[in-house]
Amino acid sequence: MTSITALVIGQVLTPGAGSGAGGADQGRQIFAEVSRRNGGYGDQRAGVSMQLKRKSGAATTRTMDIATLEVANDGTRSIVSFDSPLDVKGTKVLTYSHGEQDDEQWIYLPAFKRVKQIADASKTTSFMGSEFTYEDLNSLNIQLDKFSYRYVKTEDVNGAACFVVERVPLYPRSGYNRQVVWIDTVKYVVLKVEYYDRKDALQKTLSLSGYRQYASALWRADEMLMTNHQSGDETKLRWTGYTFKSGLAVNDFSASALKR
Amino acid sequence: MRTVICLVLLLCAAGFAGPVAAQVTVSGGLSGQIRTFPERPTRAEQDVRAAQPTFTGEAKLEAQGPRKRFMVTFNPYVRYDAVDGQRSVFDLHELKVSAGGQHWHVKAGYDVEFWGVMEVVNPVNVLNQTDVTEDFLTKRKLGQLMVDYTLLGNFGTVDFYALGGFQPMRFPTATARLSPAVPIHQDDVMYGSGRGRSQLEGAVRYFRNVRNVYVGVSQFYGYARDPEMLVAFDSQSMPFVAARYDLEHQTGVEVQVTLGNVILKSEDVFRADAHGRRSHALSAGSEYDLGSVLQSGRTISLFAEYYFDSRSQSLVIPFRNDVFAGTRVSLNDRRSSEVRVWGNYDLSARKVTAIMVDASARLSERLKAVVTYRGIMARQDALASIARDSHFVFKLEAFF
Repeated sequence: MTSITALVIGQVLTPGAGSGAGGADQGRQIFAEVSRRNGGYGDQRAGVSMQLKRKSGAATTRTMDIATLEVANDGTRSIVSFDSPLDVKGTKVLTYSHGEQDDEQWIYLPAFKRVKQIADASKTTSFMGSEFTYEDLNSLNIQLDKFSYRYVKTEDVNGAACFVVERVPLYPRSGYNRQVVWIDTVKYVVLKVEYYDRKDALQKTLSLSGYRQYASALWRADEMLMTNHQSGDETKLRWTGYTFKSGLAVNDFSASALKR
Repeated sequence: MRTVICLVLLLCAAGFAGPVAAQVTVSGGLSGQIRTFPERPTRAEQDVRAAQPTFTGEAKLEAQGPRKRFMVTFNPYVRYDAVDGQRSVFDLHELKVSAGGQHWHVKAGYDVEFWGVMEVVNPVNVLNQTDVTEDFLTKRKLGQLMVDYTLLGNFGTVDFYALGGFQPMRFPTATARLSPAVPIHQDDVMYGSGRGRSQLEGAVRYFRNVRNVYVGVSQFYGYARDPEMLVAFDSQSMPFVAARYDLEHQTGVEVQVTLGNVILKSEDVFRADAHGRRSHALSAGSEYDLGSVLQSGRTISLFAEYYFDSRSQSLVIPFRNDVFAGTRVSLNDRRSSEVRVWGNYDLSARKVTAIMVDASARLSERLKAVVTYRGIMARQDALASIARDSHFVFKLEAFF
């Protein structure tokens, strides 16, 4: 691990690294290291409280449970199970997040006991009326092949030295032209993401804080704040009760498992 | 039936006899709704009240062992209609125990199983009886007593079902709105098997997803859920209609292909009853997601489906040779506001015969408002007896 870290840091701190193929290689290497350090968890589960706050100050809260499974050479699978608001309690969304290829997504509607596969195009829609889209949530799990990368510079965020890497979505129908990501140079965790819309205007900023280490290796943020600069609204996710390697398997993330 | 209930109770006892405490959750909802009919009814004997109040209640109790490996679910549903007594119903929607591991799952008791991929008509969806009094062209199903054993693996999923305790369809009273022209005698039910409601039924279904392609194949043997209606005469020589349920084999095939923001899908069924009569139904169409095109953050889906049924009549699906088209818009806002508008074009009659609108929005964390419109424009076909029964439903739902 040390040698890889030293290699990455040595490369990215080379003057002029932000331009050309070198910048791309270094940007990807930084994300590879983020993935290496914070992946390998097998499966994880956490409770999430999502507070939606309007520019006017009005706020509402949603709660859910998110389970994620790493699949060898094929990205991740995740299930979001809603607890509130109560009219959607029991609704579940299953996502197979692949690399460059289209993701697959199913929704379970408890009123009809129906599992329905939905178009991948829905990734750009708002997640439960929040400032997060399904695309934003999926990209929290690092999948290298989904983006091209360019190392830009190093810069401090709240006193922490960060690599600044620009990434451009390679998958179809993204809602973004590009994203700029700040990565802690010591912990290799994401501290900030700026999302630029298809017209390349700054649309949203995600700030991650309250990082804690689990299972002696995995860093996870307790809080994620997404601010929409165009509407003035914001959404805060609070993650609690992380558990890892609880024995979840591929069949727990199947369309038929959603009904259980 | 008794055997299955005993099995359910035994499994319950076994599952909770251990030292591990179960996690129990309770949830549910109440609703009040008013159905209003702007037009006077077709027949003089029908109820002329313009507003029809209805109340529903539903509770769901789930008790689960560690990691959901064992679970007991109780989910009764009750509906009270102040005008049409036969529209009042108690449905044991779910009362089941289930257990499973990585590659298998078993459940026993009352449950609802949905099969199919289409938006409007699901001919393959055959296990549960349809709650036809709930809504015009309803999708609501009644709980069915069953044992379901599921095998999961890289090959896909296979379900084996044993079913019992058949439930005949319930119809509106003859004087109620949305009722057929000739009265249906609810209690004069005929069965193709001497075992009547106790007839054991069976089904097997295989389905698999390979990337963007979904395929399902099913085989069912049991009573047709959609009865044949026979005209008879009572002691005063007045005509009435009685429902007859024949045993039939139904083979179903469902396919869905997802190509980015386009979904192509179809359902096909082939039926053969005990009298050697064969019939075929097909539903095929596509769904297009405009959300990503407009980049609005909203989900805007357009759908178009064709439906054909070679049978001459159906109480569940009053369409034979129709094209359906519509749109569903979800604002993805904090109120989860959405509206769905669709209608049909009868290719035989060459006219639009029904238009449907469903709109809903969350009012608070516990309250939701739903408004629906059912516009019925047919005058001379299967919908003729309800031609003046276009109506609005205003519903308020509360959740706990």
